[in-house]
Amino acid sequence: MPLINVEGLVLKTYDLGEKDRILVLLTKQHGKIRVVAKGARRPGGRFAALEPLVEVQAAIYTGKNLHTLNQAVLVTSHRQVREKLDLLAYGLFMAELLDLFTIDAEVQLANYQLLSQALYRLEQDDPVTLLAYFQTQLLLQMGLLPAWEACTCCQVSDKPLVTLNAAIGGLVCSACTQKVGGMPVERETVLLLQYYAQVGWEGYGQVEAYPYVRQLTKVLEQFIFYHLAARPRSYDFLSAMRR
Amino acid sequence: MSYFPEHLNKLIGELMKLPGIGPKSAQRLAFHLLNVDRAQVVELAKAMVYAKDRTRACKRCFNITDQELCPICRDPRRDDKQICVVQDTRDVVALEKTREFKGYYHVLQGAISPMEGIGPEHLRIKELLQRVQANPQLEEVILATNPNIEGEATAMYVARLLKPLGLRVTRIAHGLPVGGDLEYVDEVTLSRALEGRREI
Repeated sequence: MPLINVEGLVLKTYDLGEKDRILVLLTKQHGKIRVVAKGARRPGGRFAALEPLVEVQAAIYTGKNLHTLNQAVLVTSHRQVREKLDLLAYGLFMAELLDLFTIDAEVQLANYQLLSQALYRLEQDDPVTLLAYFQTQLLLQMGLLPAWEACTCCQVSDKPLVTLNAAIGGLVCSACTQKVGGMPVERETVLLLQYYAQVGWEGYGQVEAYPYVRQLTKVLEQFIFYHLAARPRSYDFLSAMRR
Repeated sequence: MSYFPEHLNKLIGELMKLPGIGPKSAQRLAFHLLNVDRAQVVELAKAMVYAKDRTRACKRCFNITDQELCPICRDPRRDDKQICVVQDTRDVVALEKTREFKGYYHVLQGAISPMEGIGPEHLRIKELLQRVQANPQLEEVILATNPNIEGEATAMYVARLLKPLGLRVTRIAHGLPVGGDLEYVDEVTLSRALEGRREI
């Protein structure tokens, strides 16, 4: 079994047997992989700290589908996120979104960087704004960003776009909304979506648009759930913490 | 194609539903049961049915018991100024073995696990609040959930609900395992151990 070195983020974990744990690791080098951390559930075990949201450098023995962890050094545990209940809810939700949107062993460095940066920023930035930006960038990387150039239904470009229709995949004018329906969106929310799609991490917090950020988050959540054909399990907890 | 009689297949199938039992282990157990005395098999079956029928959650603390209240809740010598909140009945046993804690327990029957879809509403948190509010003697609630992400989330959530009630809410200490080697301890454990240091 060859030994490989990876840098990875723990997206989630499963229990395996009495004392072991399977880590779902999003790595820079090999995409999403599943790794057995032997003894990870034993108190004081050398892999005991490998829990969701932790970033590690690891040496892994590769297997056919399941790999085995040989060594791991913590890069960061994102402790400030893990020790505040509301931030933890945001962090776990973002990790679950990435888990659901990625397939095993497909290398997507941008995804890794997006989550890693988001978790660092979550320690100090406003979580609602951060989540709106994260969702926009995730959809952009997946090629699923809502179309906004023209009404997605009638293709006319000079009409005001008033709703977002997840099934059609973009914004819809008022006439078409009456036929196909959609989630209402303000013009400023659309502008914010366009801004977040174009700007990097350095610029996302530079606009003051709080009510529209909230609306954008809500609308993108519904858009994402439609594409996933499911609601992430951590969403209920996030909703409870947001109240 | 099945090589065993139907009733034996049924037994193997039922045994395979048990945790950690695969097809080979199930076959081995089934053949063991065929080879032992009938009386022993009947005793096993009776014990399973009896345990299933008689075991229930304690009305007060949700520990398992065969009566309305568990032996700990029935014990008047225990200190009613303290409640220790744990995730599971097995945690009660572990804490009782230390002989350090003399108060009462409250078993949450799980931990908040957002990624498994387990929220606070699935746990016995509401009952804990009712219990706390009904006990004017109570001074301290000790949160002894597991030191992992689910246990920490649960402790934070419960603490958030209890603190406004004016109680002392404490969390069990985190730190180095007895017999451990400092060199191999991860950064999270070590930093928590440093935070929780005390004078000797």
